[in-house]
Amino acid sequence: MAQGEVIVVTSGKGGVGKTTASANIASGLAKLDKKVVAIDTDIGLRNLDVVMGLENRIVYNLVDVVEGNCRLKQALIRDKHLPGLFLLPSAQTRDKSSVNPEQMAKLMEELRCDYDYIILDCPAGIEQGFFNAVLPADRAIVVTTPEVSAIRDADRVIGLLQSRDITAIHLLVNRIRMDLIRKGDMMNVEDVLELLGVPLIGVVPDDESVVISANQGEPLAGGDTIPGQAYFNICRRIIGEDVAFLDLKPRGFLRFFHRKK
Amino acid sequence: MFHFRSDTKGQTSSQLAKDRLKLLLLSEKVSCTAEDMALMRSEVQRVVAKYVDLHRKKVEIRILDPEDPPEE
Repeated sequence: MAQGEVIVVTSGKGGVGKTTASANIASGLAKLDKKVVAIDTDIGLRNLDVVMGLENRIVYNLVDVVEGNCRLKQALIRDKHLPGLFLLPSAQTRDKSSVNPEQMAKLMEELRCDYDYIILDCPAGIEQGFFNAVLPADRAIVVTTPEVSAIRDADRVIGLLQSRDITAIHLLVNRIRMDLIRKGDMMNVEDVLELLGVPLIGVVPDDESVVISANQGEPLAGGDTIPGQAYFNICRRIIGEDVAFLDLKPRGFLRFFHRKK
Repeated sequence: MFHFRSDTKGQTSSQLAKDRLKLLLLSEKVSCTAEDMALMRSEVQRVVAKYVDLHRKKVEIRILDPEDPPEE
């Protein structure tokens, strides 16, 4: 029997890529032959289903499960391609107070028995929905972009996680643009790490393939694109493999200028 | 290829962002505003100057976390 790990994907600020990261981490772990369930905890604003391309199969949702309107297995949607991947969608017509942390904790205990990983896609903000997702988690992946607003909110969220005794916190730096970093117009990964002081789990470059994959409803983890490789590496680090970080540095003579401090 | 540099006084915009965030995150951590921080600096400076000869411009005041020592 599996004793699954609950991982919350959070950020504080909206629009930094939590849902994309959740979808890709869940599908990457499933590609590594893990049994995974991804849960959209953003009640009222359902998103993860469309990014995973499963929006047409929803019958029941998270609120139905905690309220006992259906059995857990009836609400879980199996992925189109990956046999080990499931989605528990959020409710579209309810509000954040429809679920409380105790109900989430009970649901996690049930899921831990059947799944290797439970990925919680956390809503933006630090209201009840945030605590619903964060409190039952064993570890947290904080998603940020190299922007002042996102980093400030990430710092706030890291503080909240630590105050709730969630000490396994990793940082995912999303939407890195090497051209801007080279010009000195974007903070680099080292800057972000120095500011936030938590260990890195991955760096995902800003790339059109991420937009295309969301359009298609097909997560790109494990595919040929650079973000696809980056997400797959993140998944391998999650399962405990020691994987080197992708070299996103510019090549050739530009690299010489980049290294010059 | 041309591009406009966004340097102000030789500082890149990313360096400026980092400096602003350093101050902001610190002031939020000790839950006092950036203004209070500036006030605290000048008060500490005044107190120290009562006892020691200080060159105002050469004074640097930093708040250090003993559990998280600076890298230098």
